[in-house]
Amino acid sequence: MKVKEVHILMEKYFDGKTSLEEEKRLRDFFSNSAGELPNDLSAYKALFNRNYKNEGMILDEAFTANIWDEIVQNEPKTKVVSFNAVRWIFAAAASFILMLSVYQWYGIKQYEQFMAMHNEQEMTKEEALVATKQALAFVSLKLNEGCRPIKNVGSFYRFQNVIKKSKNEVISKDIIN
Amino acid sequence: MKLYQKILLISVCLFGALNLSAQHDQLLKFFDQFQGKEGFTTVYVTPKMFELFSDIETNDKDFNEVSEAISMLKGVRILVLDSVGSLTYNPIKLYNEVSSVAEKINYEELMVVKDGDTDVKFLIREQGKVIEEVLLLVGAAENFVFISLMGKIDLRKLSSLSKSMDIDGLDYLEELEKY
Repeated sequence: MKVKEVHILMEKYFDGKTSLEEEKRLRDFFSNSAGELPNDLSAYKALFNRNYKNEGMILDEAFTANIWDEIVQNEPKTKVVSFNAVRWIFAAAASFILMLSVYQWYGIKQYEQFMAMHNEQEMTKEEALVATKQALAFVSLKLNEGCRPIKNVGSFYRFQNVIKKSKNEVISKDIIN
Repeated sequence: MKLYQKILLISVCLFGALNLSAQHDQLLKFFDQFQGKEGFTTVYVTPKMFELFSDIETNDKDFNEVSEAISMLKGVRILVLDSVGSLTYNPIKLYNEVSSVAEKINYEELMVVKDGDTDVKFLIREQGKVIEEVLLLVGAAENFVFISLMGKIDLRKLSSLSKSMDIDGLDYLEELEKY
């Protein structure tokens, strides 16, 4: 191949217009012309003299699969959620109840605060102790008073049994007679 | 279980729990509305006060007897309407009002005693098998008494108190066990 032809092909090559066969010819030219290159072309020797041994390499299956996995993993996870009416009702109910709870909780807190304020001013420890003792004593007393009639229930049952017995005797006597 | 179902369940539970305490509050509000009114004596011994009791040192014989009973309490509320107050407020009406409110919420009747014109009612609030509150209501023509004992209460201990405190009253709760 003449140097002139090489120049034309080089120009085409850098314009990206060379065919595969033309590129092959260029490569052949550079690899075959060891020391006899003109100065202006010797700079390009390295470009066309690369090792093309691996050119035809085919990527194995695993590589492709790995790439695909990588892509799938990095894809943003978007689920299609159909927000139907039932869910809206659930959500509305939940938030309503939640709001009510908060409202009630707030009320209870305020009430407790109010009660605490009221009581701190009024009583000393000793007064409170006396009051507690009196309350306990009173409740205890009433509890015992209330239980007193229950003691009599036992004797009532015994009394009832006596009545039943005597009634049965009367009935059996009637039958005999 | 899906997330929104979980949220709903949690909020229902929360609401239920708060609702119970709010109901309980109804009774306290009743108590509170008569605080400081003429004819009424109200006492509220707070849980805080019961914490302070633990470090009281006294030679009082009664106190040592009672301290065991006191240690099971967390709070005491007392409301007494005296004969002066009964001119303005009807004690029997108050008695009925409180007992109906208490029965509507989670209080159960323990016993009702009618003795002449005096009604005595014991109500308890239970958590599981443990009594959390004892409510005593006394209604008469000229008196109304409301006592609430809060805490983990052992009725037998409570009943045996009157013996140790030199108060008339016999220990019939022990008799109750036999039947």
